[in-house]
Amino acid sequence: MFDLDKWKEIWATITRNRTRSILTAFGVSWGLFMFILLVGFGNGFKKGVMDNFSGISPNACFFWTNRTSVPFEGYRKGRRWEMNSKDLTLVREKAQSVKYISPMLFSGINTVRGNKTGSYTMMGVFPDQFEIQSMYILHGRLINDIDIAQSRKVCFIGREVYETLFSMGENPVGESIRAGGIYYRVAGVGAPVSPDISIGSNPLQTVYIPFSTMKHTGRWGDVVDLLAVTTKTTYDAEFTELEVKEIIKNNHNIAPEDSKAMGSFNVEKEFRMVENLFTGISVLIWIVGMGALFSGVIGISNIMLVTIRERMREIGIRRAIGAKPFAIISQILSESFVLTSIAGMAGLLAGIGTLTLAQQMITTESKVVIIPFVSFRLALAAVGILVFSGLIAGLMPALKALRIKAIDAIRDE
Amino acid sequence: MIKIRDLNKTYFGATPLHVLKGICMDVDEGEFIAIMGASGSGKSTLLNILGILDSYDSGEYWLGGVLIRNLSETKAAVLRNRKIGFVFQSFNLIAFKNAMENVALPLYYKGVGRKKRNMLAMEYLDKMGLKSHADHLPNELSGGQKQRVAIARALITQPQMILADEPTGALDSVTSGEMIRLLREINAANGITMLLVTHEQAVAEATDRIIHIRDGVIGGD
Repeated sequence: MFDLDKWKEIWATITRNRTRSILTAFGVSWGLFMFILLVGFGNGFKKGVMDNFSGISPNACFFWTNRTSVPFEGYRKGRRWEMNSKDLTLVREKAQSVKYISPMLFSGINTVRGNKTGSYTMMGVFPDQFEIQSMYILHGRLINDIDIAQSRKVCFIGREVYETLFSMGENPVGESIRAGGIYYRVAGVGAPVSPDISIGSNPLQTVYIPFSTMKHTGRWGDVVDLLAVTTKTTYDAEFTELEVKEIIKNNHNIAPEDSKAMGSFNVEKEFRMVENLFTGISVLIWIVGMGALFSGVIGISNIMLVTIRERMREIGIRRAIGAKPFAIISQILSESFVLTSIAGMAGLLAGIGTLTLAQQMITTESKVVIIPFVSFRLALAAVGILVFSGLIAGLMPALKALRIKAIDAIRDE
Repeated sequence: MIKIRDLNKTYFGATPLHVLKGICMDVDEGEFIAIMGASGSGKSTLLNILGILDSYDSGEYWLGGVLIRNLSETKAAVLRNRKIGFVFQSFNLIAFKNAMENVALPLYYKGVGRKKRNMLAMEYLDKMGLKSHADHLPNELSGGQKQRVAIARALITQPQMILADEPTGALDSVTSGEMIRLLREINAANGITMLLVTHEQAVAEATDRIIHIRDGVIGGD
């Protein structure tokens, strides 16, 4: 049952010495404030970096070719080789872990429309390319399967290309542009979801055309410059990386043990590394934050101990006139609990307030993506820790208070 | 009311100190008694044992038909609360509580509701002639007033006996006289047993019976 008398009693003892209570409480407030701030900025930093990855499939692998480093089946080492469309067919047929597959061709080109020109990169791609690197579609549509099947002369252009070749607000869809001497009809305009990630070229400055169209323009032959695949969710990207490599190396008479002939990049692995980094940072934050909170709690415990000494007489009187040991323990514990809770709440609110302020300042005044925040669950956890530490802080003083014998306390020296 | 048989108490310090050496003593209900003795005679120890604030080694102490021996702290607290009222030389009021709250405190530990508690506290303060000082803090009261607040606090649980340790020790002679008269009145009106520890002859002579303690034994009755 809620005992109003008891809490009045506790409140009276806490407010009796206001300065000391406030000073003591400050330690805990500061601890929790710092904790919330640290976690908030940690979260913001992590989200900022992770958001950078959001526009790219987290389980994508990329492959490219190098010179061979091991002689094999009559071929000398140091041989140059290229991936080709047969590799695509083989990978699609044999690699059971592969979901999307996108070969890429690259070429620097001059784009012209009327009297407007610009130098950009042309990329021959499959529609799967946009599953691996997500795009915001600003106009029209992406490259699709029919474009590939019919080797249509259409293109999907990055926003900067559009801004160079078209005037503001002009609808580019259906318009023709000339790129590398060939006319392409614009199918759509887009911008990457993660602007800081380039696969071969910056998507904003890229003219995407169907892979088959680029191949058929003839100047490149049956070649794949860069191959990207994604992994089915039931497989590890690392498995896919090995599987695809094996298939392609086998197709090109490359020694299976030749680790240099084929380069690859596994997003999942990088992703995991970054995630591990942030796990490390979080652990650090928790250690530091908890340390700050803990020292605050120790401060409260310490002051309570001193207070108990000062209050020996009071406690002795209480016991002489009939306070049971439990009443004394409960009183001391409740005092430290109330003090810790109020202090902690103040720190919590100050921390969240500061974060909110920081959020507003950061979003309005700069483009930095670090927006600090704490989850509701974390705030709840912090409150839980507070309640717990409040009781812990009170434990030692309470036990000490219990050892005070009424006669020692009230003896008239 | 009080029956003590062959009570022994030794303090085990660097050199063991045999303080009470076989005390035997009987007190009837409603008696008004002074316990006298030089310092170090063991009178304070006896008072602490009587007040269930301290334990003893051997012998028997019966309080109102109950054997007081090896009680848990909780049981001792309940007995102190119900049966015994304390009055101390230095008053021992809680400094940050006003007169009424100080008087009401034993009832708080007895589990009496706040309203009833404060009402009773006012009643007892009124009996002590301090109703107008109910909201004064102890340091705003004179010595005599403080002791009267302490007496009100001792009385409020309607105990069977009041133990007073040098109740006049910190008061001037005029106030001392008043205090003894007050205790006498309470004793006469309510039949509460009074045990006063004192070394003032004048105070002791105002009681009905004087118990002398000398070197841990009853030296004269």
